[in-house]
Amino acid sequence: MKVLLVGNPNVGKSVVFARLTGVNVITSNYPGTTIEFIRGSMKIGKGSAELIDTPGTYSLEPRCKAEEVTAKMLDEGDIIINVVDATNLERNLYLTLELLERKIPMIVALNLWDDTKHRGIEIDVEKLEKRLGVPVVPTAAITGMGIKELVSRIPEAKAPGVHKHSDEERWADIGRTVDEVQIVRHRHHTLLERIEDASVRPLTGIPIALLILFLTFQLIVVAGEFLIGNILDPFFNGIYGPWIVGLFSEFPSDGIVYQLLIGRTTAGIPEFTESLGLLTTGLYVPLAVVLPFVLSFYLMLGLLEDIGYLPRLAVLVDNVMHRIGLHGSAIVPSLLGLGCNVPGALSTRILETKEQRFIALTLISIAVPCAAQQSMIFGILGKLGVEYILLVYGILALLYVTVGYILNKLLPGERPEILMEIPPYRRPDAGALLKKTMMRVRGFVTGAIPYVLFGVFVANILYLSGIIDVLSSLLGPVFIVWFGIPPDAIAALLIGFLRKDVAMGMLLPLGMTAKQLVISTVILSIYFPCIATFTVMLKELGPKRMLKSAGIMLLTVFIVGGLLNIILPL
Amino acid sequence: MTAGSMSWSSGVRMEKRLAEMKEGEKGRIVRIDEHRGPLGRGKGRGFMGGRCHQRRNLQTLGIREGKTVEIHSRQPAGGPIVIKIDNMTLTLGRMMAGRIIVEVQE
Repeated sequence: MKVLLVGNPNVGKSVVFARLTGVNVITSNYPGTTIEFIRGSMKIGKGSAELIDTPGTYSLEPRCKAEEVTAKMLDEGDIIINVVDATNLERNLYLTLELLERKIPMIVALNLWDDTKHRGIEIDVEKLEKRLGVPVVPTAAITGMGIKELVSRIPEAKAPGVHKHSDEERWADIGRTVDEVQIVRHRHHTLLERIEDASVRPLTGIPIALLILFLTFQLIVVAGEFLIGNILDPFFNGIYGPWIVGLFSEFPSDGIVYQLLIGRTTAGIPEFTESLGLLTTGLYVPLAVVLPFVLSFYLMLGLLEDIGYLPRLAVLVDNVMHRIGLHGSAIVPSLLGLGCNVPGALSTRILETKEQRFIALTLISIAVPCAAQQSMIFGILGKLGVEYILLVYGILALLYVTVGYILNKLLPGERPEILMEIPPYRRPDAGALLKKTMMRVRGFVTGAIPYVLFGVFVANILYLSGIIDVLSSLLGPVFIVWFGIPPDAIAALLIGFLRKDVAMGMLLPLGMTAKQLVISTVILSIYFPCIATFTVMLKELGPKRMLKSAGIMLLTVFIVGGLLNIILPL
Repeated sequence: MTAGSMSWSSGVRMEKRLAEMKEGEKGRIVRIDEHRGPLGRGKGRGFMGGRCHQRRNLQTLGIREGKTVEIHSRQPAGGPIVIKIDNMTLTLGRMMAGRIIVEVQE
């Protein structure tokens, strides 16, 4: 048996899903967190059923790709759990009516029930049940309230046989229902609502946004550096390094095994960042350089997501985003991309047109460095001075806007405007936030480390087999004359296709000047996405448009790399 | 006559486009014009017919005829408008807001 969770965006379907299945899924306080259906299994009575979480939709006539998924899934369902936001009954009932017309047995979860009281809303559940002709259960999925009753009443799910309505009939019907079952009392504004107000008004909102972004950035860096400086570096340099070197002391240090596993050492400690040993660089880069920043990044992102800040940011940046062919909501995929480009690329599905998705995907790939690459930028450029880090970020930000502006001019089609609900601020739940952060971190550890090890391995092969020598003599002139960087950097670009963090590490032993490092870092970000992102992009864009996007990346890297070499005075 | 600043019989009420309303102004939505005409540049038509469904998209989000709407804030330089309807806060672009006709309460 298949049970579908269907409802408007941001009503808490994924929280209900997690409660019913025990499977953890990413949940946030903004519309469009779930962009693909997720399957799990749940117990009903003595049997079990497959439960499917679907992306939120306002109607069964979808307006973007993520919503389309839900409309298509419907045919597969045996029972629908329609999750309804009790604080927005009227709007939510539209989808409820559409669902009833599909004649699939249904039960309604009146979620966010705990929010209705302090919003002055009273709903007569029994009356609503009578009017809809299906069971209605008040729930507060975050706390777990009502979930047991919801499960126990699933067998009562009914298809009352509602005939097909016109739009006008549906709204009239909803109007009568709401009048009959709901009373809304006036109440005074709370402090939280005053903060909500201030964070979206331009005069106060923009300073607040700058402050929040600055603080977030600071906290991510401080927390990441604290973990590295106080825990991970002491462990790797003081304990793991000497131990692993001692373990392989029998092997000749210029032998192939030693080179492959350990690499170059200084005073009995491996050169962790650049030695390209599987057991040194292969573990140090993902665990001691990248992981701390991934952890602190996702903790902060999760906090902003759960509070409900991102939709406000979307309003504030909408104007700029519109000039690059997107709209405010597109800030979410880019922010997710700062963690890892893969979820960023996937969430471009919240955008309405294929041109918008093309622009957003290409921009993420070109100008949004993932946390892994950023940690290495901090580690490597940070040693030269903060101004070099800022320079790289400045160049990438400028590219994001410039490339977007040009693509917007070149691509045909419409550019739909922003149209979005701004959810109320909610107090984040510490447990849920930690769970979400751990899920994302675990995703990084299991997803990235194999690629890092493979990347380090391939890098060794490239050097040992002499392929690098051939390529660098072939492409050398372009690198030396046009980009002004050593031809050996080609190796880093090749490995960048597997992992950008490993590739960044490979720039170190080349003994580059600050200017050369800045140029290489920017090139490494622009020229191509890593293989994981590439796979997602290919799937989202199709081969033809992926080819176009890749062409834009290569053209951009050629122009920008050359320009930087000419104009940077460093 | 355009709906822009037409005076109502009493002179107390008038119709305005949502895009023209000031911060704090309140009123009842009387009409949402469907977008017609050429579908932008080139051949792209947006998702599922794009603009053709705009009125419906607005309606399913709760922006409908008969609803009371209040302008919460307006972003500068042609940016989006933030409105309050029922319990909700919503944001929408100026073009869309230009097609929503509101009977303003004084």
